[in-house]
Amino acid sequence: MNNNNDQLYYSKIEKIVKYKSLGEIQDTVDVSTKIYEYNNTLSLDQRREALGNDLATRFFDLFAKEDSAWNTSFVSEFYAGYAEMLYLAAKPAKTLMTNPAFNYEISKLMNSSTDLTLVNNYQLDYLENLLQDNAVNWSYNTVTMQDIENETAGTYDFIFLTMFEIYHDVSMVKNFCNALNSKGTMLISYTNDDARLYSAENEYSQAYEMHQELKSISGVNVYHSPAITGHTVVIKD
Amino acid sequence: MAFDAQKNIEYVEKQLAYFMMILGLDPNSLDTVTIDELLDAARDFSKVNRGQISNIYNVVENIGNTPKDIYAGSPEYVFLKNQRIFLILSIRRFWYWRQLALGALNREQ
Repeated sequence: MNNNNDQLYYSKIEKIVKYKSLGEIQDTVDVSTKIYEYNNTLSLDQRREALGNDLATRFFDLFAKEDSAWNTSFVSEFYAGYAEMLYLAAKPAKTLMTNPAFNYEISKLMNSSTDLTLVNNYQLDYLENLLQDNAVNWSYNTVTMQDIENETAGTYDFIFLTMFEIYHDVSMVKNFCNALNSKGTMLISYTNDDARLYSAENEYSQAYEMHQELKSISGVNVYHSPAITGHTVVIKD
Repeated sequence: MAFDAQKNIEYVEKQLAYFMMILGLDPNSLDTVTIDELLDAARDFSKVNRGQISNIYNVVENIGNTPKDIYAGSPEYVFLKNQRIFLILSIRRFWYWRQLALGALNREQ
């Protein structure tokens, strides 16, 4: 969300789609605020120098602000809707997810409609420590990132991860892909690498390299949507 | 199975240690090193300067652009700049995730 033109663009999209949103923007604000306030209780260095201008590290303070452009336009619903759409179309029996705090409403949908496994990371900690309440009967398994590295995490019909988990070692995308069942769908969000994927000399970006890793795997189709921060989808034969 | 704070921090610290070794820093100093020191080391390690760009004045199609434009758009520059971004982004993220992991670990103790 860079300028008024972006907001105008998504206001047009809002008028042409019809679906029942999983949650309200206020839900996102509330979840993000809880996490933001918890983070403030930690001895967390939140200087710009320490965190950078990075969605991976600033997600919750950004989304906690009610007047953030991400909360005052259709853009966030549009982005979440893409994941929801793929998930509903795939109808997976087994699902692996890495980011329940970024996508709390979708994780609740998954919890109620699939055999859900969550990755052992800070997002799972947020879910268990801050977000779970009596309104939802949570039931999921967990796997560690070490399990993903060792390819002992099991196999799934649907995998939802962000590129943040594999940015430091994009070859790990193969491990996630190897955990995908035949006919399975994998959605990776935030794959445009701050738009470096579309710039001149884009082949020197981590995102480009990750896509090359994916393309080198036999028996998969790789799709990319450049909207907002980019979604990449892999569907296995 | 619930969140395992120990396994989480082991993974995060292993990745951070990897980047520290790239920078020539001792991973055993993780408890005392600061994010500023890590970022300074990363910046020193991945300095980009004009001397590394071999052909900035030989790009005929770029006549009309300033030398700075040619320099910023050259493949060598973009490659080096992206390597630098990769290093700094990765260090910042794992540093942040380590702070969160420590918070979870301390809460459990």
